Amino acid sequence: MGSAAGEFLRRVLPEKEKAGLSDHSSSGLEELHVLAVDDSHVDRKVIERLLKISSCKVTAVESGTRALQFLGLDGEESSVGFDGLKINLIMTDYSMPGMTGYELLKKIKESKAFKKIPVVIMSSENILTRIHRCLEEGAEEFIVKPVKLSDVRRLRDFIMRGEENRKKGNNHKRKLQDDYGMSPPLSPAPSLALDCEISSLLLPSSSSSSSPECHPSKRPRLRVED
Amino acid sequence: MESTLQQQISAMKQSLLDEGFVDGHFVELELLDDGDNPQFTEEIVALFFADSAHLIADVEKEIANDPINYVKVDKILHQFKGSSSSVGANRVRLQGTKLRESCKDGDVESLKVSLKQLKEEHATLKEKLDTYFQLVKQLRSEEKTVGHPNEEHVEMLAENQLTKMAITKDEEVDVVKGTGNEPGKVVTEEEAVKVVSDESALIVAN
Repeated sequence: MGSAAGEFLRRVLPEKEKAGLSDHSSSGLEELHVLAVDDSHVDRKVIERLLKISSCKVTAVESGTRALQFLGLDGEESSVGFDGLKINLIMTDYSMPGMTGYELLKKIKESKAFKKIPVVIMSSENILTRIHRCLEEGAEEFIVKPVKLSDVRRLRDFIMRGEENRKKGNNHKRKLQDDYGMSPPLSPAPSLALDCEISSLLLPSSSSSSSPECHPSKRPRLRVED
Repeated sequence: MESTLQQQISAMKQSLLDEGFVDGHFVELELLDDGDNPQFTEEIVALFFADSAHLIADVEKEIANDPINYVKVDKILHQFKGSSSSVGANRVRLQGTKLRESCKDGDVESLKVSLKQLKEEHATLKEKLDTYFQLVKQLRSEEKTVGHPNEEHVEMLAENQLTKMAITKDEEVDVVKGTGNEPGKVVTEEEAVKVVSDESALIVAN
């Protein structure tokens, strides 16, 4: 029936290399469990929603201290066995009162139980030395806020590939850079041909102005023709 | 049949974007409005206004002190910048930055002027978004009672759906109105209507 609404054509172009795991539901893996740490109530709610929409289980806490308590790393006698606690990813804000995200990162990387868990730092400030320090300390990625759905989706896919490899007994720790064939951080700025998403890993916002006030709207490429 | 309500909403959103009241991140948030929480954006914006009102009051209190604790003010404004950026409150965020900058001059009078402007931007945005969300709410309840979503809304939701799918699948998507003879994946009006009525059914069920 021809109508004004018409029919929509969704043309997928060009099909990107998928590691066979883009569809979470077909992977056979359990839900990823993410621990999110942020002192901002608004940001906690947003990250929670982003993760839930991306089919992840979320525990959101307001401080590094609470995060350590949750993980059982606070030195307290843990009353509950943590054998069942499986955290696949920790996302933490950088600037928090008390314990910063950087300090939390260090504590996690110092712990035998949790040092293998990928930790992602989020920050509203695009400061090179800060980024460098976090990556040096073992952070998987540094995301400049505000965090977008595409950031979360990319992280989730990356974590799931890692889990899949672990299941297959592949102990090679894949870095996000390897997946995208990129050089390590702090190399010359990536060319503009790179995905918008990827540019948030290296030198955030380098493809646009480096002013901290610049918030390029990184949206999927969507052309609507009438 | 065109819905004037639908047109009003689209026009208002476009004008909010054009005039810089909100930025692309507000649009990103709306993509998170979904079956189980169709008013997520409205809720998070309400949370923002509640939080930021406290922050502004705190700044006002600090500025009334003598001497002013600029470190404390800066901390508060840093928080303010974060949450305004998270909801895409563009003009408000920029004014907050101006205020933060003028703290460095140490000129208390210009500081007070800057704060006053911030409160104005804040109030203006709240008013506009209150209106915007009223319209959206109206449209949602209109659909519930009528039971059949109007074409424009179907188009909008279908596009949103495709955008969301593109984001979650990391695909480049061309959304074009086709004749049905093109190869590739086609979302017909029936499918789009089904998506919308499924979501409406969920809303009604809640």
